[in-house]
Amino acid sequence: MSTMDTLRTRIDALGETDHPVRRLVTPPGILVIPMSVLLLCMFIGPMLAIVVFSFQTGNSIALNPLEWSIATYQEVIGGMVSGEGVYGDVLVNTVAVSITTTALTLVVSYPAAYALAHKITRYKLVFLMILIIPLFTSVNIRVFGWALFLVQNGVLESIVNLFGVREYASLMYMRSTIILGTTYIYLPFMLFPIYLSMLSIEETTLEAAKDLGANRLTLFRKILLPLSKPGIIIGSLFVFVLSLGANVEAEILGGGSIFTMASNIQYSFGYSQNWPLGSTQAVGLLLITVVAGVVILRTIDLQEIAARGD
Amino acid sequence: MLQTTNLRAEYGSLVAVNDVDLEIETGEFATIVGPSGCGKTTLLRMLAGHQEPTSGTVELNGEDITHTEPQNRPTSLVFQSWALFPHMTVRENIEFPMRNSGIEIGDRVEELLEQVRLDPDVHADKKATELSGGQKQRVALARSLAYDPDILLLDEPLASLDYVLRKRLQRELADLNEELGMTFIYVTHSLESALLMSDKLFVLQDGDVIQTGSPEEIYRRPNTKFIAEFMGDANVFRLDDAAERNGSYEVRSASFAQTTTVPYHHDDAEPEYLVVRYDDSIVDTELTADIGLEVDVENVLVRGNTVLVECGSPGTDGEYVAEMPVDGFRETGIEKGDTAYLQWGSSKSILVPE
Repeated sequence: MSTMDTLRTRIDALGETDHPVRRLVTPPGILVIPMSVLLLCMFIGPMLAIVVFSFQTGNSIALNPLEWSIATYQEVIGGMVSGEGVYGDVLVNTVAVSITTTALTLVVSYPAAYALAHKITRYKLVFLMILIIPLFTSVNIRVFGWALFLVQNGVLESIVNLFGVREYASLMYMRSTIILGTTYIYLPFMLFPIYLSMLSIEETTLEAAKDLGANRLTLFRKILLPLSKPGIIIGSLFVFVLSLGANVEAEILGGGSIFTMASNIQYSFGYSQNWPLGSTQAVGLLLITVVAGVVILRTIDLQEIAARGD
Repeated sequence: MLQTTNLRAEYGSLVAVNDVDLEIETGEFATIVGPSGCGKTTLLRMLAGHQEPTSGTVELNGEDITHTEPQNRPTSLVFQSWALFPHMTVRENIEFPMRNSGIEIGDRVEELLEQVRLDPDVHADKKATELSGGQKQRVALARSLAYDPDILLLDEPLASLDYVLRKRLQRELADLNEELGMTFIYVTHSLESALLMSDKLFVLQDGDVIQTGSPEEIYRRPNTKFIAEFMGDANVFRLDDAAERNGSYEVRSASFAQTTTVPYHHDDAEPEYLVVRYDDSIVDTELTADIGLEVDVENVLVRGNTVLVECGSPGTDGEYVAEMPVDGFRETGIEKGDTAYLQWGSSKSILVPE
């Protein structure tokens, strides 16, 4: 049974038990009240507000009478279909950045995660620290560092000048520059889930496979890949969803010439002060995220994985 | 025949296996026995190819397989933790080695499961994680046999099972060895397993094979004090004097008053200790056997139909045990705290060097 099926049964079962409000105010329900309130105010409320705003025409909501309009949806979806305006490009950019970032981080992380979990014993802590420490630094700072490195008259240009190259084409403001940034920033989110699922594979399991005649390809296909699949799925989900929302990377490394949905949403809310348009795009991004999450989670069964440790 | 010559494994400055020579005939049930940390698992891993020896060679039927990768060796290892593939069913686990080496599957999975006494209809399509310890052990065995190896290597696969199940599986392993004519090499720290199943024993201590022979030979004629103690619960007395008399030795010890003559089988070292097993020793109110000493009875432990009588030798720190039938002990009327004689027949004495 996939994770989605399990969740569905759980939700169905919920309706048949005793009164939910009574359960909430008695222990242990009462223990989760603060968190539930926080989630309600900080997550669900604003989400609803965004959905409502996306159906408005201006930057205010008239509650009486509440008016609805699908003008912004027509603009965005119509633009995507007809190819007019930026929305088609923005969607393509966003999906391209997310898919490429997921693929790149996966390719880079997988062998490293295997090596860290099963081969490297010396300096393992050093490796892990190098991966963790950047997470302590703000994304902005790290991305600006990249910008200073890549920009014209920047560090990279000075370096190539040393080697006599005079013609320096800026590596900034391209889709690939954004991908470089997101790949670097979100690498740990791919590496750690895979690393953890690799760690849960017993060394003797790999030895047993070799002992029973498995060559390297079989070992990878039949043992390593299926057993590390949960890590791959979770890591891909993290990286894909995070790069869908990648705003800072797009803004700084894309420099206003390449937009992703996230940076375009910020542009709508900020520069052009068109809240309904921003909200509509936010709803779109949310839908893409939810669909991606569902598709990815459908492929694994978290409960089966939890049972493996027994 | 499997033969190792000067097989050696070092971890930094630690010598785990010290120039070991083994000779194991085809079809033999050989057991490598020794206490924890004696290097037995390292030795087995070198035979399986999971560990590169520091030096020395492994030959199988005259062919050098020292550096052959595990997947290309005709050996199969049953791991202590069984190492079943958790994402596969029992059937998939067993088919795995067959697919790898191109063995036709057919009804082989069912046959193998029956061979290890599991009902294929019940268990073949269960996930490996749904099995009990004993069942996992059986599946691991079936999976290794499915590989059709020349040599089956077993790394204490019974260690974590309960006593009754362990007993039963020990017997089944011995039967299987006979039935298949396959060479089994079993590694264990448990004397009980070693004695029950093996044709040939190798006793390993600190990386050295210190004695080789049939279980009976090693039980009757231990090479050293260590083996004598390891091979069975035994009382050990240091000898103060030993004089040779026609292949036997006349020995004296400060621990007991009598002088006794005991056969001795080693040419290269003088006897240093007299060993007598717990179940060859008795306690009684009078000294009636050939050799004995006065002891204080410190504790009486009933173990099924025998009692362990723990004794201390007054004025020394000697601690000894006699294992007697419950009825025999009751007849003596001895109780905890009494003074009595620990004694044994001269023929039960075993002399060993250091």
